[in-house]
Amino acid sequence: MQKISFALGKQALLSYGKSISVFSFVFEIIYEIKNFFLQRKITRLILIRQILFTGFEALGLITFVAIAVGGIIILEGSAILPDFGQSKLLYTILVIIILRELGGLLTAFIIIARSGTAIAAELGNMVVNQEVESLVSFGISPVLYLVVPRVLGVVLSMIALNIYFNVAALAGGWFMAYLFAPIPLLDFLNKLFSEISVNDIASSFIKSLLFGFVIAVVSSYQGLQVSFASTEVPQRTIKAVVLSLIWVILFDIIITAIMYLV
Amino acid sequence: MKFKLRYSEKIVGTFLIVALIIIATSTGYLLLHNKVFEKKFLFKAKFGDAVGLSSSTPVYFKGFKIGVITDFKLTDDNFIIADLKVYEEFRKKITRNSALFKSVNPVTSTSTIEFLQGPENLSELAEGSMIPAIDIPEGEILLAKNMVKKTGDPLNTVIYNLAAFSENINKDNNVDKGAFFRALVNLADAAEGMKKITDNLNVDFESISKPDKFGKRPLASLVVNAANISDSLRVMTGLVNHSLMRLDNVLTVYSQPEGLAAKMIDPDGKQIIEPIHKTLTNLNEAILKLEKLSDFLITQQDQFIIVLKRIVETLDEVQVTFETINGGPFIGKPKSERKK
Repeated sequence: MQKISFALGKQALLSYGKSISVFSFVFEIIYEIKNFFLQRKITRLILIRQILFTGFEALGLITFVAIAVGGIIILEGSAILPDFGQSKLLYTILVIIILRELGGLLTAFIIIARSGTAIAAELGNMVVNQEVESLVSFGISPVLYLVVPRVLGVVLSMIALNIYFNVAALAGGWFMAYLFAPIPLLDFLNKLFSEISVNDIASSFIKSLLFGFVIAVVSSYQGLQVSFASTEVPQRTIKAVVLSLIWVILFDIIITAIMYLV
Repeated sequence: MKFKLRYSEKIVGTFLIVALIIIATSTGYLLLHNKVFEKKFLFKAKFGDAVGLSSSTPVYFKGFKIGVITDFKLTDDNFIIADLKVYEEFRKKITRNSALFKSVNPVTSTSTIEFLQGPENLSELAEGSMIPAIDIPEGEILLAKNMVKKTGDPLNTVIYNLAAFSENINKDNNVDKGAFFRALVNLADAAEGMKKITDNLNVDFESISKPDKFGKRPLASLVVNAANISDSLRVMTGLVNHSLMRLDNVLTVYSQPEGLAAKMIDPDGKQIIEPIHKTLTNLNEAILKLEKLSDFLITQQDQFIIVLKRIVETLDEVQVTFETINGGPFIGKPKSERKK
């Protein structure tokens, strides 16, 4: 009994310590963002390359997935909805699934798979190679120099990719709808915009902003948690992926609940 | 990769700017589409219930979105008062004695509100005035006075009219309460009586084709039965005639402008009510003729009996004649042999 209490207490203290560590890390990032804009010349290149890697290079994959998803939704909807006499709900479903939910989630998943793992592995290797220690010895904040440009890069890429995803998915939906029953693009857009509310766009924007921030922070934190051994790097990378997925889904539920239920 | 690194700034800039343009254009188009910047005129809408209502339920007039419900609350007298914002473009369409029709989609539980414009020669309704829905007394009055005419989804209209019809026909203050159903019950009784008569007729026709077990001829009893049947037929025909006349009366009552059946089935009375009326009139005439025919048959009953009796006598005489011929010396055997 005493052992169990001891183990539980130890675990609680450890969790508390971790939470404090994570929260202080998040607050440090937020604080350093201000400094980033003051000294942006130093880390500007890192930011641009992060956007290039996370955003631009993922554009092809995102577009392909989005067109396929949009087309599938229309395909499934066209098969089921007319049976209930509810064909007009096709646009509502497209908006709800793409704009409110899948757009943000799928983009986040792709970014986790591509960039989250890359950030965690890169920072982990830098710790193993004592590059981070060198920065500290020169008086350069590793958070400002390494983490902030990655966080901003991932957030901006996430927002931009989410927009491209939504556009591509709706285009895919129109294309599939056009194959079944030719409908002019303008009519399609009119019907679509009848179903979109400002809330939907705001929700999509907030989600992509938060998802990007969560992915970058979790991945950076896990990367910097590597101690000495290079074998820790893949472990931390996997942990970064798992935790990013969990946090993204949790935030998705919270934002959806706040935007549409409260 | 080298190309990308060399032009990374331009690539990233284009990547972000295009995304920014897309989101800005979409938001702008959405705001224009939702007429966010257009001037709106506030009216009050009154509904019987809030089923399917939301704070952004659109209001349509002839397929055009003319406004939107923005807020609604339950009043002390258990009605729903909602804020209806009408776009400037459609302000002139809101005339006095207009009404609203709310229909709820059974699958999505969302409602569609249709604006039913009052007579066009009336002046515009003042801003802030109340527009009743047709599911509350004020709206029902407008509908009954034909100030507004319901259009929209035909299925919804039929369902709505059926609901209103079934509700109104059972109201205690309705002079015709139950008349329609009484007429139907009478008609059913008459049909049942007719069936019995037909069954009797069948039995009689079967018995006519078989010889009686006592060896008697059933013709006489058939004539008597026919007389009874025609008498019953006359009574039942009278009953059917009476029932149809009552049904005709009920439909005539409902075919009047404020009648419920007419609103449900045929607002103009030209498509269904008039043809039904003509059919019933023709049926009535046919039944009267049938009644006359049955009366004639009854009067001719004695003559039939006499004729049949004479036929029987004649046949007896014919039988005797044939027997005589058969027993004659030229064809048949001698009389002495026949006696043996």
